[in-house]
Amino acid sequence: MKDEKLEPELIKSAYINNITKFIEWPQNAFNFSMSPFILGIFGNEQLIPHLSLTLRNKKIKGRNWKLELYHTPEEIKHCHLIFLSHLKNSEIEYLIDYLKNKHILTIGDNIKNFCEIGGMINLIGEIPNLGFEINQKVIQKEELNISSELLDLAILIDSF
Amino acid sequence: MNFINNLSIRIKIIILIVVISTINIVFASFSYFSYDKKDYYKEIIDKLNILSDIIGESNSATMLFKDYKIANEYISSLKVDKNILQANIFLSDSTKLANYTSKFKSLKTEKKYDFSIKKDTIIFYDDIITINKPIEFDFDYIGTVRIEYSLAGYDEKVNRYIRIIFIILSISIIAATILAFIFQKIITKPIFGLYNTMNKISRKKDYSIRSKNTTKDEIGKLSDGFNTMIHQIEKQNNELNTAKENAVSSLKAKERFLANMTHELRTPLNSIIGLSSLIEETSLNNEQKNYLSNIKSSSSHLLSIINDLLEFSKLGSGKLNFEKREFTIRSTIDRIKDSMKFELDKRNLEFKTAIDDSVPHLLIGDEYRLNQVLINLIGNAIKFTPKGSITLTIKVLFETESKSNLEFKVIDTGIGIKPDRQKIIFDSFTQESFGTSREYGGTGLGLSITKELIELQGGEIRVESEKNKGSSFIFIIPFQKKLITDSFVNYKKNYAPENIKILVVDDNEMNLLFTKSLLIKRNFMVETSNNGIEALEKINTGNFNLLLLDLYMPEMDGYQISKKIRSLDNENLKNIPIIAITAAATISEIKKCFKFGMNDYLTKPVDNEVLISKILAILHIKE
Repeated sequence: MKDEKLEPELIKSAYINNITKFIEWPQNAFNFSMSPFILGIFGNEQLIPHLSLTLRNKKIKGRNWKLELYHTPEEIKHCHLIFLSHLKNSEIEYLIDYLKNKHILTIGDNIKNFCEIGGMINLIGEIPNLGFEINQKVIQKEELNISSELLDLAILIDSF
Repeated sequence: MNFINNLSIRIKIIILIVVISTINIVFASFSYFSYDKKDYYKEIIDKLNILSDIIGESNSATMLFKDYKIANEYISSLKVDKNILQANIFLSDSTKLANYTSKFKSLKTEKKYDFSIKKDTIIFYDDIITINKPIEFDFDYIGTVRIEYSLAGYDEKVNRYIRIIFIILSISIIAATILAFIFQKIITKPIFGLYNTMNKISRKKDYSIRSKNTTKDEIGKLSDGFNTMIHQIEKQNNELNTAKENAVSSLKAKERFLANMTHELRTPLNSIIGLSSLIEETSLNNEQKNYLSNIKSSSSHLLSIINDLLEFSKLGSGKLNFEKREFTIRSTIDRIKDSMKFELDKRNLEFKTAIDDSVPHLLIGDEYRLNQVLINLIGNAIKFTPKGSITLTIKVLFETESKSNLEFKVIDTGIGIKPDRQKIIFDSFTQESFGTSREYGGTGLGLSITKELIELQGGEIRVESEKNKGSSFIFIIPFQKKLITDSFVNYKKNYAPENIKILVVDDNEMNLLFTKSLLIKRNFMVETSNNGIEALEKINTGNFNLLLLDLYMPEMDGYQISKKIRSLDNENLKNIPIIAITAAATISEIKKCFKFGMNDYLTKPVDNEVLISKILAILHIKE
């Protein structure tokens, strides 16, 4: 656990990548079998290069991947995972509501009460001892499947 | 190996079965053991593979998110298996995420392995197996699970296993011994049966017994073979018995025939010789005397041939016995001289005797045989001596306390014998040359019989001879000494008895006539009878001093008459001396004579001198 290059963005990128391994998306989340896995980034542009580096030469869920950067909720059209950073609670509530029923995994970047207000996974703690909170009910509601292994590592938030 | 050979088949079979079953069990145990060991290792490896896969899969999240706390918690649950000495989870960058070390792990066995963490490896070292299992998740290598597993548990298993094998082995050896003891009977019982049958056959000598055969195996064949063999032995035995019986009965028939023939031949010859002698004493002209002398010499010759044949047949059957009776050797020689006188005179030969003074008067032995031997040798000498003399010398060669070994020499001045023929003249049917028989007559049996007779009495004979100068036959016979020599009786030839009454019993009138005239000439009073019943009546009334008894008569034979007399009440009549007259002069017959109470015997044809001397001897001793 003593990595010299412990840049927060790189660790977060690895976490994002690793989390996808324990989540199953429903078949109808993808239009075609060839459809790429789309990762959305909301509010943290710096993450883009790190995530690109982390995912280089890799596939997510056996698919090619694509990164989309959003600044407004309206830009969000069709993605499978969205990473939310630096947001106010009111914005979060609006976004969560906006993203409902779209089979989109929502990951919060250390957002207070993220899971309590309907977020799915919230990265918490300080580098390098990152942990996460998970709201299993919301995940299930969006027809996503989460591995119990991941649940074992997480703090479970039980609301909604 | 010899030790094993000497064991009984029963023990051999038991040992065989027990050894084989033991080998089987040991072999099976070792096969199973080695298979089990492989199986055990495979099982352990499979188990460790599965275990490390499960650990890897269960900890993919912890590995990816480097949650050492949860990983350590998880891995420490391996303590339920005390054979797991150590378990580690390594991350993809070779850092150790989690570690579990069992309290059973000895620090001594600590060993650093230099093997790549990313390679799927299994290492055996001492009794520790180490599995290094790289874990992939979603096609990515995410870390490695490494487990050290102790094989010490297997040793315990082996110990338990050996104990069980030992128990099984002991039980199966006992069971095999018991079963072998029961089943060996299948094999040994028929063998013992056969053995018992053999024993029974040899013990009872009963070759009709057969071995009972119940099996068709090798022992059955042995039994069949044995039965076949016994059958053949039985058959051969029966044949041999039959042959033996035939041989014995034919031998008896032969002997009977010989005895009968001798009797039949001698009886008429007796008459011829006896009557010729009587005629000789009547007045005859020269021509008649000449004829008569021819008759006498021919009949004497015939008699000697008959005697030879009889003697030879007795020698051949080995049935010859020798008497041990007292006799006076000087009178024996006198009688021989008398009987040879005619022949000697005829050939104008001189006969000289020289008996050494040291020769005892009374000897014990077979006078008859000695007589025979001397007559044979002197007869030969006369035959082969055209002119000159014949000398008989007798001397004591050496003496022991009880025996007197006499040496007899018959010396002639005859034609002699060539040296190369001297060795074979004692063989049967041999004479000095083949021409000899034609020129001099004879059966060629004489010397052979003589030699046998001498050797059977413990003596020996040899010949010394020079061609055309003469021969000397020298023989030795051991005689028993008569210890009291005072009773020697020398009687005169013309001793005149007074009032001696003799009864002569014979069914042959010729013989009666001959004997009677002979006795009357010697001044005896003679009565005759030609059958047993009349004879018995005469004895009762006649007051006889002596009885001359022919053995073979119709109605009542000599034995019966003798037996009747000896069983009479009257002491005088009962003890009357009896002399048997027999033609068949065999030992068994002579023995029979004495058995039936007779005092002496005479053989036909009766010699005048012998008859008189015997009569005188008996009466003299009686007085």
